[in-house]
Amino acid sequence: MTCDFHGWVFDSEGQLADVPGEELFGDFDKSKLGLKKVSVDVWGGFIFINLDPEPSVSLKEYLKPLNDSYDKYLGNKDWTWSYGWRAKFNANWKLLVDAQIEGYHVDQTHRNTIAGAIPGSYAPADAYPESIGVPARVCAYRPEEMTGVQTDVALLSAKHGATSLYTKSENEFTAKDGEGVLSDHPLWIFDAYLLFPNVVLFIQKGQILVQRTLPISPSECLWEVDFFHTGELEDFGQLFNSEQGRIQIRDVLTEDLYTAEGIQMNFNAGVIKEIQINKQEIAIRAFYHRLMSAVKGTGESK
Amino acid sequence: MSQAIARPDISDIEVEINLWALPTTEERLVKRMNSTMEEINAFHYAMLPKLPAIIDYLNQFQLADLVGDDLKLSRAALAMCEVDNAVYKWKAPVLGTGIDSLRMIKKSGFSDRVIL
Ligand SMILES: [Fe+2]
Repeated sequence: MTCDFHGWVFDSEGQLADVPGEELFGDFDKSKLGLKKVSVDVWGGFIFINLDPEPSVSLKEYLKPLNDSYDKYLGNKDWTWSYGWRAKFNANWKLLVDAQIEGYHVDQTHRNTIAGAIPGSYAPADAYPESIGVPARVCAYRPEEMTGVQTDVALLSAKHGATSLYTKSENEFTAKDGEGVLSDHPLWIFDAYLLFPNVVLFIQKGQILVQRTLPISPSECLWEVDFFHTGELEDFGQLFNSEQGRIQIRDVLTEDLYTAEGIQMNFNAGVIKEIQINKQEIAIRAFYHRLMSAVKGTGESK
Repeated sequence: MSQAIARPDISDIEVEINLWALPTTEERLVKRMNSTMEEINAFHYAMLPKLPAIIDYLNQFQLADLVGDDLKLSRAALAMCEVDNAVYKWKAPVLGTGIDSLRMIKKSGFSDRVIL
């Protein structure tokens, strides 16, 4: 493998094998200049890189309670990346995580898009105090009777697929290996797991959605969201359904991101000293609890 | 490719189709953002009665086989997804309680690392 910067060549063990113009260097010991070791592991089809060459916990241990069933479902090779967005935001990275792990905000924040399709009270949360890397999850269910506006376009799209989170599809999703992962509750939509610290993984039938945030500074972050589906779009009905789902989630996300930047502005003003977190937002509590233990360096999950 | 479903007559809404049949989601988004509510409603309500028939007609082809006027029609149909919230929920071309959608940069792949 060759470094694109100066053309240093490393062998498959990471040892430095060749250096163009080696004689230009003085005291030079190639045996001490191999690649730095990192740990790499695979779960659910995703490659996880840990900069610690000898981690104290394995990835599998870190991701409990996500068991082998999740590994199998998400690792199914049929999943392919479909689309995604990236952006830079004027908000602390944690505010973007917060927005994705509680349902309490949906009725108000999303009053101009999806309110009624997933009411806040249909988004129960669970905390996993024993887990090192998965502090909490939130689940989403449809109400028996959806209120809010289900437009003609949304209903037409629902005949051809199920990519919109907010419209009940007329078809079944296709996604294999979901046993032990997918709820068989007829109104279940998705479970969203917080992978500590900065990944929120939405698991559905036939769709995976990954949101990641990275801090730039205390008041700025990079955010990205990626969608995965099983199989290519083949006919126009599927494309229409995909377009509808993609635009709906885009518009909903613009509301979450708007709120996050507004909260940051309030924090910047220095007036807000504390916030109230309720029972429905237990995943946020679990997130900050885990975060504080990590910041203190105790490594404790409780 | 056999055509079991006949092409709907869209001659009376050709003007609207020509205005909104833009190739990408992003272009249709910009079109919606830069349109007045009158323009958006004119397009939406012209297309809506024929949309079920248009989707059924287009759906009988593989996507790769959509070319020419059918490709154009498919893009206008997709624009109906773009204007849907504006017509029924916001009653305005742009959502007032969201960030500018154009700030969400379309990714080229999971590992897209273009500097923002
Ligand atoms: Fe939200």
